[in-house]
Amino acid sequence: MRIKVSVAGIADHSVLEDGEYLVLGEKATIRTVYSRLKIPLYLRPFYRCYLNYKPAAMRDKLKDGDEVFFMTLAAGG
Amino acid sequence: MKGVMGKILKVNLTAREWSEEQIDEGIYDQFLGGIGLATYILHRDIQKGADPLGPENVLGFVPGALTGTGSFVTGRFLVTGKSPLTGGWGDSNCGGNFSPGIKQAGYDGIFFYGTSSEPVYLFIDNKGPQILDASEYWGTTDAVDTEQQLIEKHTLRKKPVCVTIGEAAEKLSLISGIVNDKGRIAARSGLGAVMGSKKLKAVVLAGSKKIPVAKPDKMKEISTEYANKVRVMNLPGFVKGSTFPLVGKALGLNMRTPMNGIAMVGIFKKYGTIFANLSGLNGDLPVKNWALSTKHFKKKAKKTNPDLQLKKETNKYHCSSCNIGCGGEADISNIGDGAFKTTHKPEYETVASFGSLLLSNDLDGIYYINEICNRAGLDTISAGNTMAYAYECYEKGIITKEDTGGLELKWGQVDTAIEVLKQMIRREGFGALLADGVKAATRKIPGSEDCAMHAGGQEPGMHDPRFESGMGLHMSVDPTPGKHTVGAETYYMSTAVWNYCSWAPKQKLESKSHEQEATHEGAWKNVAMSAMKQLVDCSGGCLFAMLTGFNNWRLFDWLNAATGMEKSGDQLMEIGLRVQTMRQMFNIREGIDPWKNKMADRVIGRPPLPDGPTKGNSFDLEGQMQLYWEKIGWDRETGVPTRETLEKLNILQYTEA
Amino acid sequence: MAKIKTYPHIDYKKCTACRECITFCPFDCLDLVVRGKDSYGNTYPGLTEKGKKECTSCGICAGKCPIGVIEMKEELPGA
Repeated sequence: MRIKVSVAGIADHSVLEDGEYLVLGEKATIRTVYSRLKIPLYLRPFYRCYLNYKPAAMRDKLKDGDEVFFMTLAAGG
Repeated sequence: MKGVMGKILKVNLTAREWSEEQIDEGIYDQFLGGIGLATYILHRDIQKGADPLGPENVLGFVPGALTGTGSFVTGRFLVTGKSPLTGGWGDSNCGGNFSPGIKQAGYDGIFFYGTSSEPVYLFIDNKGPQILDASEYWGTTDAVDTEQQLIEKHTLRKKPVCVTIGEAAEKLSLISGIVNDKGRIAARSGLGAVMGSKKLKAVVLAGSKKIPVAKPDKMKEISTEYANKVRVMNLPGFVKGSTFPLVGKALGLNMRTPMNGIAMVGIFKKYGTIFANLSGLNGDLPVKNWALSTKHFKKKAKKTNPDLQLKKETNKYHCSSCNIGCGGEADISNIGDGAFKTTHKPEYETVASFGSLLLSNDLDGIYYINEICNRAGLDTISAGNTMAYAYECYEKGIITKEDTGGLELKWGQVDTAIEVLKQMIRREGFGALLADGVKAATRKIPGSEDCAMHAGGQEPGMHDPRFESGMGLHMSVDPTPGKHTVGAETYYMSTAVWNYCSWAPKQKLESKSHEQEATHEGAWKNVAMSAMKQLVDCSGGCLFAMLTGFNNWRLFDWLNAATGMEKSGDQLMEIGLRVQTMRQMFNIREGIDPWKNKMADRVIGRPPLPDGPTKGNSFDLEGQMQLYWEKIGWDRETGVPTRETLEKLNILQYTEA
Repeated sequence: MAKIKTYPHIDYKKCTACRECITFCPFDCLDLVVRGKDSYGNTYPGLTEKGKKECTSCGICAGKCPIGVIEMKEELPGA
């Protein structure tokens, strides 16, 4: 499946296709996204994750076309 | 076209008459409303070479095309006119509650012509406009008190809304603004002085006309989607002000990542702009009149922790139609001499311009200054820069105790700044030298040019171009130079404008290193940035909402739903380009050389800073300006819009004198 | 024909405090008077004491709410 991911700040962006898409296997959860993006464990509390604009939990299952984004402390202007 | 009222009000203050003018559909089609409409009117009605402070200047108040139509964060208005500060196009964007009042009075703009011989104010209710005597307020009552008294006086069934000017504008300070809702100021471009020169103390609006909307159900649908997204964006409880230097660090990393702008809402809801007090330590925060890096302010910055500001906050403040609410109100009855009870929470810009820029971290002093400036109607950005300029002149011995009337201007001392500020507002003593901003001051204080930071006469906002070169470019290339609200890479990356506009480059994951060079892609981004900002100003939108991304804050869809137009993203962006070009043409007509609007050398890293996070940074401003001009269709060498571009945008007829 | 008197009831779980209802109420019956609905310290719109007496049940606030969370009901809100 292919999901849309938005993350600013420290993460491995090289895994993202076209800068915003992540291809995952079936049964993937939010936890999978964290690990694929290689977000360091100690930084995870600073990343709040949303699935389709609703707060998400680690075990939430994903489906094709979902939109995941991380509100990180890097958001600012 | 729906969404707009179809006419403007023209008030001739010399003759004390008013008239209405119907605006053709074709004009709305080309200029939409808001600032777009103002560029059309002002081009037509201000004569070339007009004295900005004379009767020939026209002062316009325009709400946006989306104001009052049921969209979110589109309740801002613009004040427009020929700027006495820069001598060219002047506009100033302001929040508060005034904007829908203009439309409820039945107009898409209120324009003032001529000059009154006696102080007056304009009052409009459903019976129509009246020009009334304001001599009891002129010279006696500050902006906030005047507003309160006028509202009380004119409350019949409904509380009116009101803009006023304070003492600074009455005394024609070129860095004064126009105040509404007890301290939201249209501060930039010195348009307060224009209002002062017209002897217009206030505009009071108490209309309740209906604002037509083409597709109200569609509006509700888009608004509900945005509201649902904003509602759930909350910062985790443990996020404290002290974590913001980390934010800044992440922002300062050398990779630029596309991001979903809605993430910013969490910070804006809790803190507002003040998160940047500390995140700015990444190099974004100017220190000691732009001369030092943030390294030298790191320790002191702790006392400007945004949490300390939240402690003073008694109330959140939302501008009209805003569901985010980045503002706040604070209790300051125990600060200073206790002269004031409340103030609007000082924005980051104020905290920086009277904080780090003066090497001070006296938050109480800043709150006090904030309220003084609000009441006098002084632009805190320009005033802060001017103060820093004076401090530096004093340090270098260009001015001495004799010039300052015995005051010692020592870095870090806010008490002295308060004293000087009061003099500036009253135009007395030493303050009289500074009352019109840095450029005017250099003419009175010989040898001080190197201490004066400005672009084309306007002082820069508190975001350092050495941290982000796009900021420096827009501060130099925009027809109202020096503004920090026009464009920057950090703004662009979260707008997702490329989903709507075919020629706006998509933000990729990329290194920031090439951003300081002049590149074609960078230039296209900057042109898109300018166009979308003008489009937002035509709509009455807010920069911060724009930063949450057009994919969330669906401005393009709202515009079509409210007006009943069916314009594509490219067509709407063309309106933005048209407005930007009209503004530039105004400057050209007034004889302004676009090259002269270049930001002061120090601010753009010439020479570069020797230390700190932005160590060694400088950038190719000239090259970037030329590429910007080329892409937007202005002459690459001179910055003058080409005839071809004027024809393509169909504005040749409006710009030919 | 007597008109049934109704009052605006705001769903504070959804209200965003954008003030549109206050802006467009023709009789100043609404103001930011409701506190304690969130952790940010926002004040939310509600009928003022004056509004409870003078509300004309025109429903403009309900129509103007950008997200339609105002409902006109026969009883006074917050009673």
